[in-house]
Amino acid sequence: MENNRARLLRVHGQDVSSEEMPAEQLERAGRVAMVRRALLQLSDRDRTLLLLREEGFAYMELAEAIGVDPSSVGTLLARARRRFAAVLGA
Amino acid sequence: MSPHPTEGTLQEYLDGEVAPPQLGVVDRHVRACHQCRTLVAELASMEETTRAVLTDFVAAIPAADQALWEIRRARAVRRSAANRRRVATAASLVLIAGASWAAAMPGSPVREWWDGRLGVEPSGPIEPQLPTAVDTPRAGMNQLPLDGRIMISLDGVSAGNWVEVILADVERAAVSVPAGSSFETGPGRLHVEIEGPQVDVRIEIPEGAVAADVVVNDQLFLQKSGVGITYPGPSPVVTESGTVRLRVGGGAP
Repeated sequence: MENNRARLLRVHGQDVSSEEMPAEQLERAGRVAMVRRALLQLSDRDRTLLLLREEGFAYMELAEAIGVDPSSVGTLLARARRRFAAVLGA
Repeated sequence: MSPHPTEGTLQEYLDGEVAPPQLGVVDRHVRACHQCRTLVAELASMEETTRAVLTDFVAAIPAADQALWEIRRARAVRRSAANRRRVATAASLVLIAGASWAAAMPGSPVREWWDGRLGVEPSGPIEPQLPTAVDTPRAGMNQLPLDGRIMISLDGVSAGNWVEVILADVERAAVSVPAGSSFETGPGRLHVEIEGPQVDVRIEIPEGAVAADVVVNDQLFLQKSGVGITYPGPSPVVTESGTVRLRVGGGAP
């Protein structure tokens, strides 16, 4: 039976027979997979806003990226965060 | 009391994106309005939650992810003082920026999302305009100190200057800054705003850094790619100890 480690390694494209993955890396890989699943449940626009904001983009840059007026970014970002938090908590 | 700001305005306020004179209006309202203070606290809590989980996600970017690397570089040279946020005051200290475990994961989740490989087709104007990836210029000097570290001294840095270190694949860089300066960190980058009298800022890029940039006031000062280091800005002076000295302010190095 495929164990958790093997499954995570497969999900992240690593050969199961490769060198032992440290526990910490495995845990992080699990977290990344969880976040990826949560992001998949959001719209393109929400994902773009959350990820680019996390990358440090300013509101003007975000507005340009998603094609909206800069004055809308705060509202859209707040809604995106609310939806993301709800998905994570589900 | 002024009318309640919208949730979007409060989000902007929280992110430091409200400019004067509206900033004063919103600030006074929030201080006086329990309802809005509660909403700001809720927005801040959500922001912390998303940041906590996205930091690892965004940091899972391999050195080879040119698209994200170019985004960071482009942003570093485009940023303006008005857009800086979450600036924490620091005394004379050593700053640590984490590119984290970027090289540990075989694929970048952000890149996968970017490339639409998550099974969601981008539509309309959603796709950001990425800077074009360019080959790193090889001209310049190769400089590999014996222990593999790169020690940089930015000489004559004065108040109001800012320094940004962008990393691709190493865990940390160290920047020594004068007391009163402030900093902002994010995945793979470290931003310092200099306060106080003219000083020398020392930066240490550790052994193993495949790619790193040092940007000062919108100008690229140092660009490392592999073993090649280029200095698009002021010419470097390498001291006997191997420290690379770059003059930012007036005067000879």
